[in-house]
Amino acid sequence: MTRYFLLSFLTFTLLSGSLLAKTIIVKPNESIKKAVLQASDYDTIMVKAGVYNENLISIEKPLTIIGEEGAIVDSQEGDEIFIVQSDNVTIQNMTLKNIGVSYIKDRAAIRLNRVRDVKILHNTLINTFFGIYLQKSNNCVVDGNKIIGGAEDESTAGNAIHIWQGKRIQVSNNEVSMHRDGIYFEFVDESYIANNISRNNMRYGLHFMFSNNDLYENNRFQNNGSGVAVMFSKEIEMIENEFLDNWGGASYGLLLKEISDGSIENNNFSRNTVGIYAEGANRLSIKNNLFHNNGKAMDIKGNSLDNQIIKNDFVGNTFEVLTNSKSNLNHFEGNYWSQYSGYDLNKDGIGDVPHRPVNLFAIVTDKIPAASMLLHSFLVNSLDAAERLFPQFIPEQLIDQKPKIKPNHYDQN
Amino acid sequence: MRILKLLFIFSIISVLIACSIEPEPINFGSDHCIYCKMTISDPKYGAELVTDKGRIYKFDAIECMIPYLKENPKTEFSYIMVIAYDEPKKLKKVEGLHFVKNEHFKSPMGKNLAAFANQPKEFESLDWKKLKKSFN
Repeated sequence: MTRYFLLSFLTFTLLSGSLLAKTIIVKPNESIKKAVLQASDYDTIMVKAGVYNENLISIEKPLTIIGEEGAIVDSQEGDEIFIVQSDNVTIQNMTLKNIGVSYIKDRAAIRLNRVRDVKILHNTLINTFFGIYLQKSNNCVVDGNKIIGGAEDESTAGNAIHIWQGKRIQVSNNEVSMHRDGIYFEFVDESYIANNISRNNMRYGLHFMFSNNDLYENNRFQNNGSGVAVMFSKEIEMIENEFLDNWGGASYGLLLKEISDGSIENNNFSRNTVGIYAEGANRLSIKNNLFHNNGKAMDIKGNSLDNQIIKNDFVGNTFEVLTNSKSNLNHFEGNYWSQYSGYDLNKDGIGDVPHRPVNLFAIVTDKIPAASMLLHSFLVNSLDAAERLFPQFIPEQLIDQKPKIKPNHYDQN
Repeated sequence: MRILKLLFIFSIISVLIACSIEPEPINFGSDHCIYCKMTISDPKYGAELVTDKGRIYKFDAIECMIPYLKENPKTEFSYIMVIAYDEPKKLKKVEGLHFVKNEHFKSPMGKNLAAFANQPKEFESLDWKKLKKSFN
């Protein structure tokens, strides 16, 4: 009986809530802040086209705010615009502009503070310090936003999408540029990042710190300081992403530091100074990736253990694999190496002699960068050939016993 | 001949400059942390060590510099410097600074640790020696 009563009570409150919810229209010369104050729970605020010079709009009840095309809120280099402090809020189709840089406060165009079930959809953020900042929030969606920072130098740049402590956050279909990091995850678990384009950011396209059980797929990271950094994190899945043109003194397509038990599959690493740099990376499955035209395809330090590097294609890289240790505790098998110079007499598609992807000269240039001027010289080539026959400096076990004769990627298509 | 002479003098001068033991400002956005490999980018945090031979090591956070110090106990350092949160971008010697651990300060490597030139009123602070001891 009490159960029925509860149920009917619940439906009644829910129905009455949605029935009573009204739409408030805000026109230019009116105030969004005032409309938010006047609105009741679950109301919708429609913002008409026009420029609104407002900031510090605190949302403390469930609301939907929808902008008409051309609805612009300009903070005029001032404080944050929307501060969401209630569950079940949606902010959609708004254009937010000109957040002022502050050393004291990490100002964002939209801030979520300790909430859940909030959706930030299809907004355009221009000249922001931080773009969208989620703090201690769960079950939120950030989808289809375009965030362009005004960063001229890194010290005045915040992150485009910054998440600090959260669970089950979806970040999808966004385009982020000109910030410090495109997307930043610190203490964020069980979350999903897909179909984003992150480019021209000063530090990283995507950055994980102390985050576990996350998946990112189908994103493009182009022309950032480095593509993606995954640090101090566990069980991160990295699938079908593109890491392109991360070129510079210490630029990486993917930087791994103290991470374990994840997978890196079907990605494309092209034209990076270093494709993957791994330090303290353990038990990863690195499969079916394409490494194309990188300076060094993989730089995998001696403290990285039990990684499976299988069926990748290494095409046209200056150096294929580099390491700093004489021993190797990772497994290489069935990769295609364009620098392989063996043969396949029995035509089974697998090279008859194993391949040693570490090149002596790679180790030399790693210690003395200026030596790269001697690359492809006769002396260096003969040294290299000698080293491959009688290895002294390169790890003896770092070997692909079954190198593919044809690239795996072309086999599949 | 004259050009050679000039070149010679120039090279001597540049060697002399290179040898002087002085700290060097952090280039945000291009310098890298020697310890964690990250690009140093937040001007409110950061640290630098200069050895007695003039070698310079830069860090993105105090929590990267202290473990580095502990891993290299035999190296002598002429300068141990960090950036103060209340005076961004400038390196200051650690002596006399106030160190605060609080969630309010999101330092790059997750330790919530910031240095202050002026004693902050609302937070409890440690001095350098105590801070160093607190790292194990």
